[in-house]
Amino acid sequence: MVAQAEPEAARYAPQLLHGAQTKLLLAQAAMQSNDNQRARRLAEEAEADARLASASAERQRSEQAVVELNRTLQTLKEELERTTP
Amino acid sequence: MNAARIFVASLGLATAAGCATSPPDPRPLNEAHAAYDAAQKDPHVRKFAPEELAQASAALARADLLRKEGAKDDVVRHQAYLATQSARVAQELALARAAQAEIASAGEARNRILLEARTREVEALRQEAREAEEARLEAELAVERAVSPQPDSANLEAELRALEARRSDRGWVLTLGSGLLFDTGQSTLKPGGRRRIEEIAQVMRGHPEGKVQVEGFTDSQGSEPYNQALSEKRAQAVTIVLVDSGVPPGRIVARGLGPNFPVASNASEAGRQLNRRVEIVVVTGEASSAAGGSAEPQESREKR
Repeated sequence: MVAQAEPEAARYAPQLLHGAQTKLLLAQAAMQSNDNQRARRLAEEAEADARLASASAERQRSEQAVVELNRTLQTLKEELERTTP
Repeated sequence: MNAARIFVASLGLATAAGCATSPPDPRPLNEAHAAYDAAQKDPHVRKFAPEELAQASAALARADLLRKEGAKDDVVRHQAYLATQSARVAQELALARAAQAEIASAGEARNRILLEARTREVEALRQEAREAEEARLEAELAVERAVSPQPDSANLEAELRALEARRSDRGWVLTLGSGLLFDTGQSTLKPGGRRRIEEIAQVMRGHPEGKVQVEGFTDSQGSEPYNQALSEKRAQAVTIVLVDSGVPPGRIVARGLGPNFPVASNASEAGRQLNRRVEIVVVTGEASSAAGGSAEPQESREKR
């Protein structure tokens, strides 16, 4: 999940993504010292962070697209007002 | 110094052992509740991310239960953290989907704008075509009226139609272009015009009950008194021919109406030619049986 979130989240939610990656590393370390409970918790939190990073990226992307589209629409309207009888 | 270190160390031990004397940290769970409340209050979330909200609710319930059951702080903190992130996901997704819905409807708006513009374009072109066609027809009519049509004594009805007689609420209306009947500025009937009036008189004899109104009109060029007088003299000239051809004079009313009641725009020559005319109305049926003579034509004219 963290890997999936990476490209977009890196752009839109870098802190969250970094947090998730760090927790994953800590989870791996915990597993190596046989602290399985801790490892599981860290992995779950990393997953939650990655999910949030992904959702946040989607929101920001969509909101940008709305702004862009409204601008295009306005330009189109003005263009048509000028040229149509 | 040493005492302080020992004190801190013993605190650390106590915490590590999950000692019951230190109160549970309420912060993670409070934060989870706050995050959930914010998500739950947001109308976007209820509309666009109800499932994610439900997941957050379940996660929060799990955290609350753990606290109630006296679970360790870090266990509760962990579950509370999952609940918090879950609630935030619901909000982010809701906003993303709301924006996507707006994009979809903006797409519709764009199509509407384009369609409207295209429709206006098409309508403008249609209007141009219509106006061109009207101008062409007017020109054709003007040419037709300048040339006397071939007399066809065999079929009077067809002849009348060729003169564009039409049924109206006033009766049979025959419109004759002045150019056909008179020379410019004259009120003496041309031979071709005279023949036409005689043929019309034959129709009158087919409607003995009918009254006849002869009305002369001019275009708007020239003074009103001049046009008024000319149209009157022309109406009278037509009337004389009708009487000569056997229509009882008592049944005929002749009037000059000058430039009034144009049938076309006086702005173009084609229009002015249409306005220079004599109308002969054979008033039939109920209209003619109404009481009064000169009062009735006035009424019919006004109703027009």
